[in-house]
Amino acid sequence: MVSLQGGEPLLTVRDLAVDMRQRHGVVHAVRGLSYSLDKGEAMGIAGESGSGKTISSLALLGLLPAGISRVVRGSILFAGRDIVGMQDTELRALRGGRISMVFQNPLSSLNPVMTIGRQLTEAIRLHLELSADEACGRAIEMLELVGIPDPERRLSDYPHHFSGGMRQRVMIAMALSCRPDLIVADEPTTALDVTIQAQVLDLLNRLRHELGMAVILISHDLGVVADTTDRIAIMYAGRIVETGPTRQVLGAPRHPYTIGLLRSIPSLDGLRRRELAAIEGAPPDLSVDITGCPFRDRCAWAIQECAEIDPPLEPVAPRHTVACWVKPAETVEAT
Amino acid sequence: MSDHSTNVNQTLSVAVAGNAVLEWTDDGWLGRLRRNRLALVGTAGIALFLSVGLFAPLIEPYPWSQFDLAHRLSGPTLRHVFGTDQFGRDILSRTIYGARVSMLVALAATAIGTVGGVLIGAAAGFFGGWIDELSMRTMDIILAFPQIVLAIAVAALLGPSLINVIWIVGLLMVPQFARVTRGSVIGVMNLEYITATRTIGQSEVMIVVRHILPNIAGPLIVLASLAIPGAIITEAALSFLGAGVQLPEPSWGNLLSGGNAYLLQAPWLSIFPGLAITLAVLSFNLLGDGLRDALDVAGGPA
Repeated sequence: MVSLQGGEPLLTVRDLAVDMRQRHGVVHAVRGLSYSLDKGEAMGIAGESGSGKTISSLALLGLLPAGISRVVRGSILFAGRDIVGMQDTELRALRGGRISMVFQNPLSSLNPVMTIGRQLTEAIRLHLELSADEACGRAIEMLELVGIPDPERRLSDYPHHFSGGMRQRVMIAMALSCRPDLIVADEPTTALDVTIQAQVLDLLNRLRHELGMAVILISHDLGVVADTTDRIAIMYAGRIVETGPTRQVLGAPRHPYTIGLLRSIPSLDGLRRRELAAIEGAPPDLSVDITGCPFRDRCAWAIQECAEIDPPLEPVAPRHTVACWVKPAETVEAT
Repeated sequence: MSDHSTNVNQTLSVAVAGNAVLEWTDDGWLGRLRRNRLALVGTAGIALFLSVGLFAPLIEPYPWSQFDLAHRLSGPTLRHVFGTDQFGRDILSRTIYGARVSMLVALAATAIGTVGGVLIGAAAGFFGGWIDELSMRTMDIILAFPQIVLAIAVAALLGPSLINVIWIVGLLMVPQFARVTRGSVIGVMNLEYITATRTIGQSEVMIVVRHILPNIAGPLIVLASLAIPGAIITEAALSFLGAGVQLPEPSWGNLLSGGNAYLLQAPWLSIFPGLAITLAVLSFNLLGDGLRDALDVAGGPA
């Protein structure tokens, strides 16, 4: 993939495939994922549960569940080094230092018996050579940055003293504390109210621009991805089926799955009696090898070729690629 | 703290995966414990026995080995508050000294059991595989023997002495601690905040020490406080059977066995040491129960 900013992209994922061993067999959770990300760019990865988006993000940090998952092929190049097969010591230096992660459920992703001050300073002192006092000072700075009032007093509070939105801010503070080049946010707002969602997303956006970090925002909610990302990749059955500039993909989708997703968003100002438009069928079983396009059973535009050959990603517009033989150009009703 | 955060406090302290919220506040475990009358009684009892044990040489009215043949087998009098034994030795003094022995054995043995058990259990839970199998089957072997029989056999092998008793009782406690630790570690290991701690680049060892162990401390504390009275009883049993602390050095157990022969004519030889055992065990049990309630844990995760 060509990076328009010149120079090397920050992150290049090439044909990544991950298998997971489950009780009933081996599941091909990721089946050939490729994308690249530039410094400071924000990319959204959208898809339903089981599309492989969380597994692919864990792979970025070398955190695939040991013993049950395996990178079958492909590479993840971060700043020139391949994360696949990297040694533990190097991975630990990367994690938190150059790539950070923010998780979905802030209640369960903070240690309940440790003050947030200690958790923050732990993260800081792992990567920066600071004394305990200096690390404390930095922790306070980070809390201020994410908008937690009265940060000095809050350092000695426990996670359950914070509301959900504040906890997520604390997680973001932890993730940012060592100024990483890349933040991977896996469903960061799913567990929050809508109003808090907006605040947290605004925060992420503001910090991204202030600190120049790249962001991968993973969500099943297209609305969340729409405002905060430059580019979007739609994942289905372990692969990207459409990717391009966010406005472009969401405004003029060309893959039947994307079209279906956008159509299924209920409208607040549509006619009352409209049925919810759902995508018929269910995602394919990933424990079997799939011939042809994995979406064909649910696709209204499927043709003969779809059953036989899996379509590769092909450009339909500058930087907008789609994996489909038909590439329908339907307009989606305004929502 | 505002009302709102107190409610959040209480709701979440139950909701957080059944783990204890180890906080030194009135809302936290210490506050709950302080409000539990029975637990306070237990604590007072423990404090009493520990002080008696600690200051034994200072408070015993007579040296425990001193004979007073003129007043052999006399009942409780002002002179000898608990009476005397067949050699005229003051029962009170011997019971006080026995407290020292019992407390020492109970605490030291529990320490051995805790340290050994936690190390083995944490390793088994965290690493799994053959380490888990080997450790747990060894623990099963120890548990398969009736405790007293095993203790006597080992004492016969090593020779009865105070140090040996401590090691034996300690060894007997390792399997319980190992099992509870292993179960708790497995329960906590896969929680999201452990994965989140990996994402900041923390090493596995430090994850166990700084994150997993503090989170499983609750059930372990309760287990330890309930294991101590068990150790007191085991030591008493061993000494009673002659496999523990040897006469003339008094231990509550051998005081009981010494009093056996005179049970009908001079029951006070047995009553007072027996009372001491009962009260000490009761105190630790009360505190242990109180701790268990205060830490909001019903046997811990897994």
